[in-house]
Amino acid sequence: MKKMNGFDEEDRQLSAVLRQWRGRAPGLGFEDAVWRRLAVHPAPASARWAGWLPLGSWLGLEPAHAAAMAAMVGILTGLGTDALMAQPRADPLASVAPALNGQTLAGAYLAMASGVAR
Amino acid sequence: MKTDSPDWDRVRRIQGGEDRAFDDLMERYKRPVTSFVFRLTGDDMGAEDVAQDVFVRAYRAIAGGRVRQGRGEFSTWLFQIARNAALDHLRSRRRRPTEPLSAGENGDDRAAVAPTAPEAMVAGETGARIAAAVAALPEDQRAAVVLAEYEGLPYAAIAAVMKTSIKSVELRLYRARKFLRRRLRDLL
Repeated sequence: MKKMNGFDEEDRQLSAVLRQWRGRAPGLGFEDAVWRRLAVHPAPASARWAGWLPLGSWLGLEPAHAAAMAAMVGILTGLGTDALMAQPRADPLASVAPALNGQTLAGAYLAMASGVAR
Repeated sequence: MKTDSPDWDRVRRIQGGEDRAFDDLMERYKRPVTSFVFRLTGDDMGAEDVAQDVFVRAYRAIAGGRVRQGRGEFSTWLFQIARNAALDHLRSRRRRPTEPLSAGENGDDRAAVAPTAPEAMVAGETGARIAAAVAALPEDQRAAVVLAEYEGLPYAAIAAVMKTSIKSVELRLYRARKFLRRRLRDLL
């Protein structure tokens, strides 16, 4: 059996025959036709973000990875900002309840409403 | 297609908004892409339409930032798009009435002299026979033969276009050539 990766005289003869089937030349105005198609159906909106991709390239990232990294940075920034700005809300009732006598009806109600353990 | 770095330079220029660089890419690749699609689909009328679609897809991918250097040679990437577009065309054509394979413009691409009328007739018959033989191959073997015999791609590049191993390309070419030698033995 002939070696698969060998290219012998038979293959050379076959190549010579196959080359008699000529390819098809593109017609005149090929480029114009492509531009017309692109004008009718412009590039998707993601192209607007392509300007940021050289930054990802500079960092040695694939375009998809750069986009994922940017999304991750955005999410983490948002979460961090939210955590920093959140203030613990003081419950006005909780601050009053200890001052009240738990044995009174008002004191028991306030303790119950503010969640203070009885 | 000796070196691809000028092509990747053009890609970067397109991404920077210089559309003229895409004209350069089309000028360089429109002929091999059109011929590749024609030989893969056997559709003389539809080949140019599909080839234009290949460049539309390529431009969108480039402008959309979905391609950059580091993924191999530019020509390999473009032939991947061309193969996918050709397969899409074949699938859509299967849903419509089929047309016979065309022999196209017959004779060697590199022939400097136009053939005389009788020569053209003989070449036309030969081209039609070769076209029919190539069309009878399974798609994966046909693509490998077209890329190897007509586009002159090395096995590694064919493997990259077809997203397979070099061993698999060797096997496909071995089977394809065996089939074609049998089919075209009176021409050899």
